[in-house]
Amino acid sequence: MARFKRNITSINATSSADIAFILLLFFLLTGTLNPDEGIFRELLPDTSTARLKKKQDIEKRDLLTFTITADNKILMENEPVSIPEIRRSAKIFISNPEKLENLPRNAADAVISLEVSRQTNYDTYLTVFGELSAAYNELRNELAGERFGKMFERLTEEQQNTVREEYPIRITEKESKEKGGGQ
Amino acid sequence: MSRFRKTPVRAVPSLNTTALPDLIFTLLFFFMLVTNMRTVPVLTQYQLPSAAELQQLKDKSLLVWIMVGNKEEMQLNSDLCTFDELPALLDGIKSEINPDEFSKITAVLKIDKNTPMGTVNDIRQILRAKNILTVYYAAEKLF
Repeated sequence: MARFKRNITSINATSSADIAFILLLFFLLTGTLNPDEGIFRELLPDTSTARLKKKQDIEKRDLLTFTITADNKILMENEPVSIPEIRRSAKIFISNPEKLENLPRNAADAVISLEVSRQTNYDTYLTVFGELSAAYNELRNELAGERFGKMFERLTEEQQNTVREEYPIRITEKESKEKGGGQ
Repeated sequence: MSRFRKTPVRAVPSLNTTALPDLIFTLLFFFMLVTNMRTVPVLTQYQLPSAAELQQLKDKSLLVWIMVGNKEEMQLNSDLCTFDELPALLDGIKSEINPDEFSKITAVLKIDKNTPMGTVNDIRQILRAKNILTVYYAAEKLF
């Protein structure tokens, strides 16, 4: 039998580029390039038992107070402090590397109190809060590196909990009573 | 002389665009991978504060978005609201969620950096009263 060659007609794909362009534009318009970044914070539950649990005697050596005044001045133990200093001194306070008498015996006992005024800027507050949680994160990372040779984020849930027990984040916040203008 | 004989008109060969869709698909995939979808429309104008050591928002389920703009206008999820409406609206949101999952709700706070802390504290008090205890302060990286 005689076979004849049939030509396969090619599909015209000129407009498939346009279709791809439309898809591309859709993703360009609906997507945002910067991912959501921020700081997590667990609030204390609003029950009376929780409030009772919170009520405990904190020894003087276990407490470090930061105050942000209404005119956005940052004070540590009532003395002005610069932003890089916050993290450094918080780390020293929590870990107490030289076992000083006036700093916490145990890192787990350390409490950082953050007092803000109602007029304080949110920006200033979050900068300070970020520095404080960065101090905790750095300490956790150091401990995780020592014990497990990994970053805290990469540990298993169980390992993370042991590190968390060592350095629990204990930052209490309160609103200062003062009304308006500084000090 | 034959050398200078007029040549016949030559047609410009057409451009082969078969690979063009592939090119654009590559671009498309790039943008699909690096961008993330906007989940709620932003009706307020805010400039986020800056802080160090930020964490990324990984779990994107059960989020409550609260935004406060630079004129203290407030937005809950995709609608504008006032401060006094907030508790009732939060109750409404919680009624749509399975009670077992209440503890997993995260409130994403996108608050303008010039907002006074009084407003932030009030919002936190409401969230605490409604038992939404995980809060996420959206911020920009401090360089």
